[in-house]
Amino acid sequence: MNNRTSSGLFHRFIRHRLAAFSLMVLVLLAVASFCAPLVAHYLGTDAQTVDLFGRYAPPSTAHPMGTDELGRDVLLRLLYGGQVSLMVGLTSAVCATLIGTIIGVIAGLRGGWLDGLLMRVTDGVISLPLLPLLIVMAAIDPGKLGIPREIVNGESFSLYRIIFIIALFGWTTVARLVRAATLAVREREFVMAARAMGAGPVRIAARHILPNVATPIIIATTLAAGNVILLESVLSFLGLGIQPPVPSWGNMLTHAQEFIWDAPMLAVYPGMLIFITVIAFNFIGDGLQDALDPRAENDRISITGQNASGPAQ
Amino acid sequence: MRRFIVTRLIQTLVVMLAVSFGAYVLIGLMPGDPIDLMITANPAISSADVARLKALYGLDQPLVVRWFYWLMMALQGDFGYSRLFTQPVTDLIAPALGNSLKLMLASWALSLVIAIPAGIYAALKPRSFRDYAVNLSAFAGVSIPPFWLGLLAILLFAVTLRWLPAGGTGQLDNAQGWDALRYLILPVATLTIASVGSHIRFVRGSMIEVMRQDFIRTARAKGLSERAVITNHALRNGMMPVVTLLGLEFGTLFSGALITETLFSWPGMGRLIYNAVIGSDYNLAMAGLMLATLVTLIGNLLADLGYKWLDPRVRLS
Amino acid sequence: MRKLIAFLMLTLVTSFPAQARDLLKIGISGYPETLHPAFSSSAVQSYIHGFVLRPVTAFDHDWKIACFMCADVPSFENGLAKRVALADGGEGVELTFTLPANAKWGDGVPLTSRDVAFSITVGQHPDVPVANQEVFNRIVGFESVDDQTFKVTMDRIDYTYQSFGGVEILPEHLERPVFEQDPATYQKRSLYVTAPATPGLWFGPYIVSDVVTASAVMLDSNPYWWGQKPDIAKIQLRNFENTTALEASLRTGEIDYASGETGMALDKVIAFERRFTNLYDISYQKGLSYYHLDANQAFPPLDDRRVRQALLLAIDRTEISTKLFAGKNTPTLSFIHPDDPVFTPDVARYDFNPEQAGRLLDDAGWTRTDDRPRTNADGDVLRLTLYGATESSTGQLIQQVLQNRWKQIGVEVDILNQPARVLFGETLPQRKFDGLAIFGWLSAPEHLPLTILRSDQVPTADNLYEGQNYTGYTNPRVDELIDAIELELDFDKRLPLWHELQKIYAQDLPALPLYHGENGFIFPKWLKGIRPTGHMYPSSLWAEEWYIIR
Repeated sequence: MNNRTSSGLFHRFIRHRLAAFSLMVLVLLAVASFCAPLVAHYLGTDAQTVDLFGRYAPPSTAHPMGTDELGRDVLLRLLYGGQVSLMVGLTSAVCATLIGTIIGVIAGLRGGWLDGLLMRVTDGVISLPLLPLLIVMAAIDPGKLGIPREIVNGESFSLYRIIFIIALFGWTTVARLVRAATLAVREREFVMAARAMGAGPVRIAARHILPNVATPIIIATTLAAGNVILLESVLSFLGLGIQPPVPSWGNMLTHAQEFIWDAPMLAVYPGMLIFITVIAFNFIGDGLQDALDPRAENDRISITGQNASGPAQ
Repeated sequence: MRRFIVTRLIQTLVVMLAVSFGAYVLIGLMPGDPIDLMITANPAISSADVARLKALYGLDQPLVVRWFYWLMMALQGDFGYSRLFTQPVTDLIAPALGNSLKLMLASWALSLVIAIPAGIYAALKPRSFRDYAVNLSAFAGVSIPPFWLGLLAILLFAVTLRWLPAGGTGQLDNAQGWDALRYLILPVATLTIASVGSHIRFVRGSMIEVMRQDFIRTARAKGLSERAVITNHALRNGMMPVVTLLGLEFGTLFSGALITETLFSWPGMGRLIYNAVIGSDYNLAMAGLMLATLVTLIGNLLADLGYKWLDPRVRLS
Repeated sequence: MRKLIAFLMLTLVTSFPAQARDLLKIGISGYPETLHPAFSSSAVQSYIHGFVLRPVTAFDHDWKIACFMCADVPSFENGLAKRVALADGGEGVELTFTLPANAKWGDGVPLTSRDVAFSITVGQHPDVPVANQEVFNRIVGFESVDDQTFKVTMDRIDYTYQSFGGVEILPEHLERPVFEQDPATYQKRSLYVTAPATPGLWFGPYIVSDVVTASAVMLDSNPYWWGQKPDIAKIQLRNFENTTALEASLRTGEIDYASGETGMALDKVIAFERRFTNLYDISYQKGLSYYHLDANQAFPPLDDRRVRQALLLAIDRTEISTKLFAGKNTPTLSFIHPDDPVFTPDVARYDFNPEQAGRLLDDAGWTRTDDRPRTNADGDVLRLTLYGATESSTGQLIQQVLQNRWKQIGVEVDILNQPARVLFGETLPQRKFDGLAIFGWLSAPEHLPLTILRSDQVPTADNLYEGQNYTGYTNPRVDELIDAIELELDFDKRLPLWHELQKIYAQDLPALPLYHGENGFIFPKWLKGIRPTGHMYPSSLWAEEWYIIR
């Protein structure tokens, strides 16, 4: 498994044209999003400037995609919203992966009762009804947890909260993957040898276990990132997502539905962007799967199956 | 087998207890203390009243004790009164559950009716054009923001074309037969589009896996026609994981479809649980969440059992 | 297959239910916690109750007190109100009301003063947590003269002495047994809760015929209604949780009418009018809902009057009115509506003037270099939180406009929205809002802001959060004025006191006035007779006057 050359992988990945194309789209979206300040400079405005004299303006040179219900530049808001949505998607997915990896490695390496306990917890979390619990989590009062008001009232708090909540529930798939891989290599000679030489568990995990599970982890993270973006839009729809005026595609879409009779395009843009981004993440995950491990169809299914049914509610 | 069932039952019980405690604590962290809300709603309340109310609601007790009281009552089938609707919780859940089941079962069935043929169709020729086409549609379905889809459906089919009602269950209009079904079409379609993608991917994956198995090769080597190989051998084995899927998704039938219900004014479980959580309606929220969790866990258990029963080779740890 | 599809399409199109015009379907947003009139008061509940219950007195379309369940509004002149000495030595007032002789409950049982007596017994019982306790606390005596006539004694004489609107009449013949079984749990066992479709609970032109909790209330015309016979036989009130869904249902004809009181927000109605003016009759009604920004003076620098004045000068309320509300919701001077008889325009004005706002902030020690946020001598940044309700999309639009304007004068503002239940149930009463809060309240004409402005009405943990003086405003002169207005029965003598109160309010700005909200009503062309009131008593109180052009 270690010996698969990266160039071979790359070729097979590229052969999966849809995935390659998706990657391109995502990179483009990301680059464009992070160029938002440049665009803002060029347009001479910013994403928060309200201009009530220019509500629902059609596209023009000053506002290439027109303006929204408060006369703000739609293009800029989409770009800044992209920053936020992509950031939330990727960060949550990576955090969930980190937690999952740590739990998986501990369970796999330590074994025994700890393994049993961790895996039962994993089973428990997997079997929870996702959306109702997310709502409970998103609706609790952070002040009651002793988090200072200054932080709670800050603009970015809702963003951190979403990342935290998703990481809290999203780690299970990765934990199972990593545990299985850890068990598989635990008794191999090179691990035993490393142990005999006094290597600590962290070192063993980093040197011998993680390289072996890198591929399924990356796939799981990719697929999760897409789902998180979808989930954020659902939470926004319920008023529990990222709070305005910080734009995210999810809350832009939610607010646009109120004005859909006046300005349908305001709902079409963020909706399309969410759709494109999520499907691109899915294609990339699928492509990676194909390229890295064409035989492991069932793993992928369990991954998509678990996560995709969440936001659909 | 019996030992397996007993172990799993105990596990399920432990998870239920843990979740009920967790949910109880979390709902306690929602903004707004129930007594505070009562005080602000009724300025004439006295401090003696507050102490009395706190004792009445057990709020002077530690959290664990309160949870234990709740649990004891719940085990006797008493889920208390809803603060939001001033009605016994069970009276509220019954009709909501009925509505949700109608919606969810319809979309579930429709989704499987589409997904099974489509998944098999794609799996028979992996990496062919038709496989890509099916995959593409499957991914498209799971990637659409669900409320966006529902909204566009209302705009097109209800407002613009006027073919279908924009919302409601039809119950208020005394719709019968076909008229009642018309109310189901848009919400069911919205739900199905969101769920059919993952079903297709699941069926496809499971079929591809089966088609690679040795016994298929053996069957082919025996000279059986491809059709016979597929219908007699591949299908039977390939559908086994689908049975598991049914079990895994069983729980979603009971937790309802919040987004779709909101958009189509469909008074189901999703909406009820959401309103209860947002409205700090402890009793209603706890009952709703526990029902959803219990059914999900039972579904998982049945899925494992079904899998074990269908395929004795599978060893469950 | 193609045939089948064609057939399906055909049925889809043709089976659209024909418009039945003896049924009016009304869309509302929200559903009351309970249908029992004593245990909750919300705009939605009042709207529903308007069809099926009647208050003894209420404000009419001219914003005057009128009788619904009495013959004449009591006054000292007509002798129906009398000054009486109270047991504690104070002076109270005895009011005499006469119920309509032919008044009946929805099951045909006569409605008498015994029902009123029972309602007061329920409201005054210590174990019954009624929503409006104050109403019952003021009643110190009740005497039933005969089946129709009763006398109530109130513990004080104030300028609103003529009204008797807070006591909702309950049916003694149905509710007394339930109540007496156990008053403490009456709230849960009342027929209004367990069997709301019991005809005998209601006595309006309509009775409740069916209830689908959280979804709909169905009304039938009341066979025992003694007034004008309603033209519309049945009414359905349907709850929509999502305004887009409400509007879609209006457009598809699944509902006929969205009530202006509880249905669509003003900006949605304006947008609707632009598109469908020829299909519907749209009307706007000025209202007594006062939208404002409460400034919590417990949090510096909002305790500094100059800062509050600067904040108001820095926002362009005219622009909000013209651009967001098509010229409606015009800026208001104080909490008194311009159409209110006690209004005066002669108060301090705060037209948009960012320069003056900047000067005031400089004076207050919040200075600015370049475009950076303002800081004080200690280097603290001038930063506030602006609270609002998650449910109010209009409020959220305004919040963002305000945030933007304040940023331009160097004031940083964070927006924080909470569910209304939390905002009004906890954040405001416990004065946890460290900044400003945007909200509105709906009141009656010449409503005394006693609980809002009096210094002893600041809610604290010690007084169990009694009072609505959320800003913590204290001004001895205001306290005096409020007390003087309350006890002054002569309108002409009251007027200068009201004027002075408005002047002080506009000078001190405990809250920053935004506008008096207007309501938009969308009527189908065939629906006539609905007359919005603009105050807390909804148009459904005159539902028997509604009619359909057939």
